[in-house]
Amino acid sequence: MDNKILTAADGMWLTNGDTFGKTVTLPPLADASVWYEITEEEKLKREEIKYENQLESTN
Amino acid sequence: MSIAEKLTTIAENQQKVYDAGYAAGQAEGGGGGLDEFWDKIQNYGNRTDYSYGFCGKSWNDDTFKPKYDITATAWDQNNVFSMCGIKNLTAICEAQGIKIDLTGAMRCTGMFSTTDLTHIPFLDFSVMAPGTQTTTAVFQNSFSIKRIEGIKVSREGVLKYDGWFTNTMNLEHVLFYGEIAASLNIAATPKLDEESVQSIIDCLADLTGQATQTLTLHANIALSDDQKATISSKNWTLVQ
Repeated sequence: MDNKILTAADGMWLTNGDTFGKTVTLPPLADASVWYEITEEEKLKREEIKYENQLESTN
Repeated sequence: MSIAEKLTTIAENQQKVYDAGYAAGQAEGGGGGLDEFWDKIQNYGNRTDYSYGFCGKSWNDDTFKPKYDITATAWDQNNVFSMCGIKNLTAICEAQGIKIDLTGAMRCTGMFSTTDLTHIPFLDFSVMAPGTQTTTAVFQNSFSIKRIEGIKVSREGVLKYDGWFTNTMNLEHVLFYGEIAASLNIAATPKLDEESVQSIIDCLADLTGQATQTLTLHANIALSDDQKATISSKNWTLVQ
């Protein structure tokens, strides 16, 4: 089986809800359906929320 | 109280502890004030709870001169060096002949977060206790970190790497040892050298037959076809 490579469209990012990237290389048996596209703006918002949560956890 | 206000209060409190301890050491020891100071701060080498122990800017390369190993073995070792002004922790540990021990610790959230650190010595997280761990944001926002001599991990020792390398954009070198079995995001580090990248790939656990985990690297990190094949063969998802 071959790897599946997902590539985000221009201006978009791929995410599985946890991490973000422009390309995702999936091993043969991984589920591609957990990955979806979001805009740059949405990515920045989600990263900010994640960062705030991590910062909160350090206290 | 906002997060920023809480952090400022913690740093101010740490300054008060530092000042009081130094004064007590001076009062007892005269010329040996510094020695007495570290005897008291580290309880003659018996201290095991170092949570917030060296938090705040009063701790820097001139003031941080531990006499004993940092035996951070009690369950809570959160924020040990958080917001410190120490730069070359590697050189200090070598000069003082001390090491940092995390055996049995369960919490190391923010341990080296928001610091002025540039160099960090070898750290063994593989000896941390499993169970109800919190290991979030260990190096988060330490913008100046350039080199971490080594990080040893294990499947049981580190259950999550959430936020470990958030904003560590100047990190050039960190060798991993042991086994990485949970998703790792080191995408904030465009300068990571080839030796470090290879060590990460070598340490990825073989997840064949288990749920895939993700390895997120900066888009600038160029991987060979062999490296990509290795990542995939271990059932890891590569994100760049």
